[in-house]
Amino acid sequence: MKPPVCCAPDERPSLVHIDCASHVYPDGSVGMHAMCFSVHRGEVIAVCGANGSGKSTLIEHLNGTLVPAEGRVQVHGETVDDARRRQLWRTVGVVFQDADSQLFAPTVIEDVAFGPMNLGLSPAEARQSALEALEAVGASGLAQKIPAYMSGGEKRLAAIAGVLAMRPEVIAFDEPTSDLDPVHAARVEGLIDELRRQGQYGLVLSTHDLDLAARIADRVAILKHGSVIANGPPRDLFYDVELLGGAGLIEPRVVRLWRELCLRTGRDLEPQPVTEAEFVAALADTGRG
Amino acid sequence: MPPLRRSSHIPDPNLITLYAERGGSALHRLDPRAKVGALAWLVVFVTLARPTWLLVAALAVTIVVYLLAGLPFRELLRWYSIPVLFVLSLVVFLVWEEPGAPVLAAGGLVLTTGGVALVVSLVARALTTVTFTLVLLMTTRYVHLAGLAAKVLPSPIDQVFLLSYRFLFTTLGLIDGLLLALRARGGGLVRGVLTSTRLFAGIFALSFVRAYDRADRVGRAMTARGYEGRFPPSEPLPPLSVVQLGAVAVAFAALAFAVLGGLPGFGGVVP
Ligand SMILES: Nc1ncnc2c1ncn2[C@@H]1O[C@H](COP(=O)(O)OP(=O)(O)O)[C@@H](O)[C@H]1O
Ligand SMILES: [Mg+2]
Repeated sequence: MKPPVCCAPDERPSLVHIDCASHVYPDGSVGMHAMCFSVHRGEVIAVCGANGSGKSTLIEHLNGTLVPAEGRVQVHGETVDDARRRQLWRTVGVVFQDADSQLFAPTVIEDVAFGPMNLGLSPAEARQSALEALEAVGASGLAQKIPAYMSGGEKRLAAIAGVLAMRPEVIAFDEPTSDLDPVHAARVEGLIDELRRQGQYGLVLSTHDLDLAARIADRVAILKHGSVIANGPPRDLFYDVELLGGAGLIEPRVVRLWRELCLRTGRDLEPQPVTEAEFVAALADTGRG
Repeated sequence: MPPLRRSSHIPDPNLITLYAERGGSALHRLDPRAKVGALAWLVVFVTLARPTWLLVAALAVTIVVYLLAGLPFRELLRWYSIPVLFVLSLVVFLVWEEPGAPVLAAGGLVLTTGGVALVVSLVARALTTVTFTLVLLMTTRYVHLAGLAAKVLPSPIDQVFLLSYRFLFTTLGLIDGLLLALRARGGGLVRGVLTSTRLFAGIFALSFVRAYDRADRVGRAMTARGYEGRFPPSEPLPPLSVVQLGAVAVAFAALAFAVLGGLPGFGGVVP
């Protein structure tokens, strides 16, 4: 088995860094161990792993909802003590896996305004900030809606708005598209991409869908049994069959096709594509070559 | 109003919220303080009023108010089944002893006109309160209910109240979901409670466990957005309506006058 690696690839100051020797749940199951993970401004990190690999545990540690049993969290290079841990939510917003549990208020606008109110804004400012966040996710029409009567995709957009309204520096999405239809999934993906282009956030998303990770992530951290076992750009990791298989993941479709193509043509074709766009470009190149 | 999702004996909290947020009747526009005052008045009224006809009239008027607010009648009838069942289970041992002309004799027990009047007045009292509570909840936006709670109740209690209110919604929703699953296989609430009490006790217990589990996750998601025991409403209450509150005050005064003046049918004076 691969040893845990540290996922703090360079010297850039990180927005959030976590160094966690272990987190064990009360029933004895290990949520995290030897975890080393950082988030930088302007990048999208995909945390990839099978069910139970510790993705949600990691994300909840970033936000201070869970506290490492042994280890520390740093924000802007400063270690977070108990008092500041309770304030971590100001820096790191989490879009939870289960939107039904996140949306607790009777109407969307109330729910989205909840975070800004906790930040100390006046009711009027909080509502304004909520309306802007809803507009930013393209869901202004949902403001007066009742979450129970909304589709899964609409709930997810409202949940994202609830986090955006707080203007955090880091936003962590826990499996943001896994339960959505393709159209809504594409919309959420587009939204994350838009946030990346704005450049002011550090973005983390957890997923077991490597096609999604390949399209959207600058960097991938592969999780197994609660630790990062590999870390790097998608292209460096997604052709490693052994690594992915060991982590219980399936290679992106593009990788499978490309490998098949290499096998058929008997050539080791370069450069290896990981997204559909790269695949098409590479295919056009080999056709010419 | 959009079509109703499904009908059930348990008031659907989401439906209640939907009517409260979307409705545009005159009742929706009333000052929420006045509506709470009116509910309090009504509770006092049905507690003090004695004559059966008066209680039935109070129920009829309340139902008319409910309908004027544009609220769904068929749902109301279904929601009545639980309070009716509750009242009947309480009076089942009492009604037989009442004085009055016999109406029905069954196995040595005699049901009298007095007994019938007792049942009718108790049911009318319960349903009047239930109906107007629904009017209040279904015509008042949540921010306003929350605002009132925050005003009226002292600091930690108002938070407990608001969260219990939401927790109640979650629990009712889950119970409803379980009942739906039951009904899909031919079961039903009233029949079920009567024939398989233990199963139903289990179902309710399970709902609470699930609601607790859900509440735990909701709690964590709230903490993640900075919840620290304060859940303030995001909108101020509408301006105080002197006219409407005055009307409630006059109604209270009239009631006090009726009771203290010993008007027939109120207080100690039995007609
Ligand atoms: N609340 C909890 N109580 C006990 N064990 C938990 C809890 N949440 C997660 N775990 C365990 O921690 C491990 C990691 O879980 P999780 O972080 O939810 O994984 P993922 O999100 O990748 O599916 C799993 O073995 C899981 O069973
Ligand atoms: Mg998870």
